[in-house]
Amino acid sequence: MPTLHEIQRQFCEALLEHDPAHISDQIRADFIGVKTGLEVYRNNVFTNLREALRTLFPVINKLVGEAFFNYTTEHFIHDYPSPAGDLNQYGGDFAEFLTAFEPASSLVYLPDVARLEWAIHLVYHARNAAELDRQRLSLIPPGEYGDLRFKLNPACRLVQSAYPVNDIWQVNQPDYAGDPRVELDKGGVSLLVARHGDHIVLDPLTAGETAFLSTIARHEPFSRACTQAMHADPTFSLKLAVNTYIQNNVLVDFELHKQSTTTPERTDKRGQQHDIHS
Amino acid sequence: MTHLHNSKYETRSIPVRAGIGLRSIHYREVIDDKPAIAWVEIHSENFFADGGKPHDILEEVRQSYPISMHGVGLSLGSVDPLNQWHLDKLKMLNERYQPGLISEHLCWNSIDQRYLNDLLPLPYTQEAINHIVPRIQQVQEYIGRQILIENLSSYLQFNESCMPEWDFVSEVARRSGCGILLDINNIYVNASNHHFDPDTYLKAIPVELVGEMHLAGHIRENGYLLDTHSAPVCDAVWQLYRRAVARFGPTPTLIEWDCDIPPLPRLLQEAAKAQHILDGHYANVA
Repeated sequence: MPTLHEIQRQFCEALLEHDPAHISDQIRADFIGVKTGLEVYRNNVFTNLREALRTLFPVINKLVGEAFFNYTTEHFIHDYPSPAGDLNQYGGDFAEFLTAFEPASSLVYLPDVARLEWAIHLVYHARNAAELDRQRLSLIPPGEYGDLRFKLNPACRLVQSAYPVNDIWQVNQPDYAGDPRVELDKGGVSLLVARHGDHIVLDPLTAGETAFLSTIARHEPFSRACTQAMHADPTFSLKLAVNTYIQNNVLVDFELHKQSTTTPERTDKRGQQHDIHS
Repeated sequence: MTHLHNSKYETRSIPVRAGIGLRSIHYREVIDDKPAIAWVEIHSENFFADGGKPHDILEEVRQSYPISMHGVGLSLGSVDPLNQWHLDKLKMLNERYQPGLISEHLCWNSIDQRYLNDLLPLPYTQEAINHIVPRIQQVQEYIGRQILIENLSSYLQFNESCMPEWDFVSEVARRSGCGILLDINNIYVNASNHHFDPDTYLKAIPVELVGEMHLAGHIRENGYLLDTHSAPVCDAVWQLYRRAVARFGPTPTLIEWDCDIPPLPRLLQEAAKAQHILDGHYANVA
């Protein structure tokens, strides 16, 4: 007698591999028919997942068209099974899948558009964060600024691409009425994806801003973020950036971690030069 | 027992009236116009987000209507361990919104951590009962309240099954201490697909265990009925619902419409039909 575990595993194989033989011995020859019955379940599963992906990646769907989207997601659903009972958790690997999906390889920007749409999805559902406590920040002695570790708003994500994915995204919005052409040659872009009320905003970043925010996003100390930003862009205005990011709720919290003794090179000297108050 | 919680809401029980499944295309209209709806049911997983718009919407809805939370992805019948992340989300929603009812399905959706995101059937065996009963109890203990479990529509039966579906549903509920969300359309669909008498099903379900009923539309495919939630409730299901109300007494009843969703007034018309049957019962016993 098959165990419950065997039945479930065989059922799953039959649906994902589209082969009733995996489970047909366990199913009663019934009025509907084994093959037809299993096909109903397979169709339900694949339709549920495919439509969830279409909702989550509307620009990809528009770029490749409905039929090719169906074809692509059929393969994706097989190769990357859903990780949760919540469909909103499904699709994080879509960009990675597209990178290796040969039939779509001529659309070189597709994986980055998927990355952008997934970032938008995460930002849309992220936790609401309170504003940074400026009072608390003002109590930090300037000599210790370098050791501060700021926290990005969970409803903020950084996306970088070698293609103008923000333009591609923009011209494929349902309410977009302008010129639908995008100059692919215009080069890459670095974006801050953020949430303003109900709306998602894509802010292009300079090299300095990108270096600064991505260092912060890796939970590295403020001194390191400053060094990286100045290195990427010597004209980077630290004071302006920090104030703007606090103002716009991009930086929402901070912790003060002293450098551990295993790192002999202290950052005090540089830290003292950081004037982050307006 | 007084349960301390951080919610700004008092638990608002679900009235013994007809409500509707609240779907995203109707959020704005419901929030802005606040139409007369006795209660609404949401899909729990649609509000698993940590923040953002989903919760802004649910806060607004919760302020105006009693809500029930209906889950589709807990995978109660799976042989995988219960998903702790999923349980935590349900607990969070329960504590924050204090819904009148929480329900799930008597099914499985995952195996070896791979989710199939559909309501998959279990064999009706003692092994399956012994497996799912402690899991339902674990969920109820963790969330801190009773849940209802819903009977499925199905398109196949396992050779292993050694009892009818109605006995399986009843025994799981009786032994685990959960209630039953009786889907009348699913009984009708299964009766047609697997050739049994739907009234036999109704008569086998213990009256005191039924806490909610569902009504929905199905379509006829070549040789079987497909539960699509894409159509009005058909006459035969209305008739079965009348007999269910006669047997179980007036019970909170929900109209589910998930595909080809009509404008809100049409959905409310459907709820009014169910309400009419509930009212008729009161008239009969008065």
